[in-house]
Amino acid sequence: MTVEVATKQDYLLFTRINRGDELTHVGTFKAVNDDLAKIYAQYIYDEEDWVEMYVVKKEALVNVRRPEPLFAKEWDR
Amino acid sequence: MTKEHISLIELGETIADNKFILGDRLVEVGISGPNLEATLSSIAMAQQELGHSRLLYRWVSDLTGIRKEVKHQTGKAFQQNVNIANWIELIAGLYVTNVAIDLVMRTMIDANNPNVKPPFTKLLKEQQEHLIYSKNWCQQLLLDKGSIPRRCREAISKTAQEAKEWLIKVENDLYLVTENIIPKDARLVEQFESQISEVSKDVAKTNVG
Repeated sequence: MTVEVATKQDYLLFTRINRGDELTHVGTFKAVNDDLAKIYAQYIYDEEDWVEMYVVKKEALVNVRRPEPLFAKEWDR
Repeated sequence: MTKEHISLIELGETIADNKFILGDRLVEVGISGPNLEATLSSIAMAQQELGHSRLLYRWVSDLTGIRKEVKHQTGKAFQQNVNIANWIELIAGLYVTNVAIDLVMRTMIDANNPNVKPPFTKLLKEQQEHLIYSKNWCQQLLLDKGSIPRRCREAISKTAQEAKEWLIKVENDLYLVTENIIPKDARLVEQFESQISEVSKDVAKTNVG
């Protein structure tokens, strides 16, 4: 596969069931671009009639605090 | 039902048949899609395509006045769609067929003939999502390695040929045009060809970039 095809990115899905509810992380999936990510989010996570849905590239998350590793090996990941 | 009226019924049945067949193929072939996300989306889209076809068969039966249970298509689906046997043909068929159908539906909505009242507006949003999904997948397949891009181009071209023949028939149908169901200057084929060639153009840009 070419670079463009192979570059799937992890996306996180955040949803709100009703107005005023908390925005909750409900799942993670892979997609090659934002357009497909939006489609996948709607078609895979259709168990609720969400009032709001957001997909975010995992790499866009800014790390503030990480858990201490249980094993040294985890640092390499 | 007049003889001319048959044009409209045939148009409705062609769209319904294609959606009926695509719904079936999206499950049968889509279940073995290349990844979990694509497969789950394919199954969900199958339900929507079948729902669209049910809505359209009902509209046709209102036109004919004959109520009958739909067990099979009426034989007007594109042969290429009936023969879909793998993921490449499925994606190409879903994209090309929905481009053609979407053009006809939007043209009929714009024509706004009060005697026709097609139930298309309800399904356009879902159809647009199917178009985004299939277009993106077409682009991925066209960028793939080995024989996949060639097979994808061939599948697009075969379905496009059938879709084009149907669009020519629709925009030249005397009844549809004189009754302003399809406006005289609809240019369906021109728009169709432009949209289909867009996929390859986008892929070419990606390769150059």
